[in-house]
Parts: sequence; structure tokens; C-alpha cells
Amino acid sequence: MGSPRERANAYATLDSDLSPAPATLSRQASLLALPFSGRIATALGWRGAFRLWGALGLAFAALWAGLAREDPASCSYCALEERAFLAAAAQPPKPKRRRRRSASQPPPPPAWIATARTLLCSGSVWCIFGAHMAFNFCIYFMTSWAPSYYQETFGMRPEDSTLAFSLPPIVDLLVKTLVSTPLEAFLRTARGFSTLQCRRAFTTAGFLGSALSLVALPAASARYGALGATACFSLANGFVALHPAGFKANYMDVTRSSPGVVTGIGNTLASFAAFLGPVFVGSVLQNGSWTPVFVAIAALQLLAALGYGRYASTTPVD
Amino acid sequence: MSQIAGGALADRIGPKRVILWASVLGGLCTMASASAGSIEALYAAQVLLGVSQGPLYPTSVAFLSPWLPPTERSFASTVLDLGITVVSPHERPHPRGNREPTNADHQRRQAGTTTHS
Repeated sequence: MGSPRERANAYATLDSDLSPAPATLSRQASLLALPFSGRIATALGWRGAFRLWGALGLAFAALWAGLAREDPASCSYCALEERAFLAAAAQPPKPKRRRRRSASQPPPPPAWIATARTLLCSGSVWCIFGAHMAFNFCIYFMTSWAPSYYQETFGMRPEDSTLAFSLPPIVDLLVKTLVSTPLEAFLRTARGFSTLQCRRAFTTAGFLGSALSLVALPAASARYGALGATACFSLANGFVALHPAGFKANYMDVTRSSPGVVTGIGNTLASFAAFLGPVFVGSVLQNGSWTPVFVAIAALQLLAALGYGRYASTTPVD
Repeated sequence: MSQIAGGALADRIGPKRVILWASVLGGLCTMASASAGSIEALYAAQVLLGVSQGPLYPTSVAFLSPWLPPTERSFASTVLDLGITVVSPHERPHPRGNREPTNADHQRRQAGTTTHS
């Protein structure tokens, strides 16, 4: 393979398809199944559709068992040079200092409690949780309430407004596939950004852009009608699409010993925010106006951007 | 909630095994759904399916961490997030999210008021 950067890029690409990380494939496959399930159920019957997806799930599990390796060191088909590079890039956890204690002192808490305490008392972990919650709040507001906005404001039903509901996810897709990686490469090479500066830049731009787009939405709707609303929702989706390269990637930076539980807690809190978002919007809408909703969500985005900008770190806390 | 338990388990025994068991359980629950003899059995199989798939996101992040230097993590994280984007244009949205229109909605509609003030 070529330079370390190219090799690592190749690995990251491989991660989305085969081992060493078919984890991503598992997630994508379950989501890709959705649009086709209706047609398959029509062809095979609903029991046949379940059997087909179940068999594919088990086939994936067999592939995973055979191909996946826990880490580069235990991967026989990973080049030695590659293993050395990855081992150097992923530094081992800091050794814990042992203090001498007298017989009268109570025994120290188990290691996992000490680690959990360190992680959960860290501002750099909580700013990721806060950003994830604000992100989910915004994204689920747009998914759940945009149809109602179009219907109440313009009398448009979802089935009659293909552009309004297709354009935002298409912009999201374009940003993720065409913008994020080249933009980060540009920031690193042309501007000399560090990993932390990149995470901050993507997260701040994501929150700031989506906040401004949502605040501008009522005025754009009043002036340009549904097209103005679609432009603002699409812009908001485009900015939100920057977050996987920002705070979401930061989950892998902040901890070496507990990435699973930290991401699990963050995603669970974000799921609560996703649940509360539509309920909150429903209660604000009882007053009759959409503007306070857009302003409140924009304010939350700005707050999350400030918190992340202040506390984010790429240095593992453990 | 299975995300936290699954993530903690991945940190303890390694993410490969957690992803393997989540995938096997997911496949078995989907197969069991096909054989459900009642609506209650179908519900039960689907709830178990949800519990088994909860750990996948945090465990995927845990799995990817040792494989990627910091400069490549944002790309992998973006790929991990792409599935939702790919499926979104195919979804058919429903007005008012998942709730029925309230009296206030009907009144606003009858009054013909637009609310983008």
C-alpha cells in the first residue's frame, strides 16, 4: 500500500464494507432493507420477507465470525507495516498510579468504578453528550414536524410534495459523501488544523448553520412560499450532515478503555432527546405559531455549539 | 437501554463477540417473526429484535476505535451515519409526526390561518 494516510484511508473504506469493521455494514444493511421490504413482502408474503431478512442476518453473522478481528495485532491478513502504524497511532491507556496505603485506609474502589467516575466527571465527555442530544432534538424535529409545517402553512400533503421531502436528505447525502472528507483534508493540509480543531470546526459549523437556516425559515416561507421553506430545511440538513465528522467522531477520541459504554450512554441520552423533541414542539405549537419553535431549536443548537467549543478534547480522559 | 449494556459488555469482552451475538439474535428473532402464530408472539419477537440490535451503534464505535488513527475517524463515523441518509428519501412522512391532530389544529385549519408569523 502507499503512504500511511492512504493505507489508513483504505482501511476506513474497507471498514464500511468488509472486515476489519463489518459493523458498519450491519448497520447499513438493516437500514437499506427498509425501502425494499414492502416490495419483497408483496412478492414473498410477510412471512417470506421475514425469513429472507433473517437468513441474510445469520449469513452476515457467519461472515463476521470468520472475517472480523478484534484489533490489528490479531489480524493475520493485515500487513505488518499497517499493524505497526496502527499500534503507534492508538496509544495504550495511561498506567494507573498506585498509591501506598496504610492498613487503616479503606480499599480503593474497583477499577471500572474509578474509570466510570473519571469519564462521567469529564467535561469533554459531557460536551459530546450535549451535542448529541441537541443534534437528535433538531433532526427528529425536522423529520417529525416538517410534514405538518408544510400542511398547515401551505396546505401541502406529503404525497403531493416530492421535492420538499426528497431534497433535504439528498443534500444530507451529498454533504456526507462529497464534502466532509475533502473539507477535512483541506483544513488539515492547507490550514494546518489539528484533529481537535477539525472536530470543533465541523461541530460548530453544523450547529451554527442549522440554527441560522431554521431561524430564517419563517421569513423565507413568507417570501418564497414552500420553495423557501424547502431551501431552508435542505440547508439545515446539509449543515447537520457535518456532525458525524465532528462530535460523533470524537466518541472514538475521548476514551481508550470504554468507547462502548460511553457511546452507549451518549446515544441513549440522545434517544431521549429525540423522543422529547417532538413532544416539546407539540406543546409550543399549542400557542399557534411556528416561529418560537424554530427559535427555540436554534437556541439549543447554539448552546450545544458553545458547550462543545469550550470543553471538547481529543485527549483520552482515561 | 440495551445500548448501554451492550456497550459495557463490548468494553469488557470485546466488541467482536457482542456484534456477533447481536447479529445472531437479530437473525433468529427475524426468523421467529416469520413463524409467529399470533400478534402477541409477533410483538414479542420484534421487541426482542429491538433489544438485540440496540448495542450495534456503540459497539461499532468501540470496534472501530483501535483500527483507526484520529485523522481517519471522521470518515468512518460519516460512513456509519450514511445508512439513515440513504433510507430517508424512501420514507413516506406523516403529518403531525405520530400524533392525531388536536382540536387546536382543527380550529386553526378551519380559520384558515397560516402560522409562519
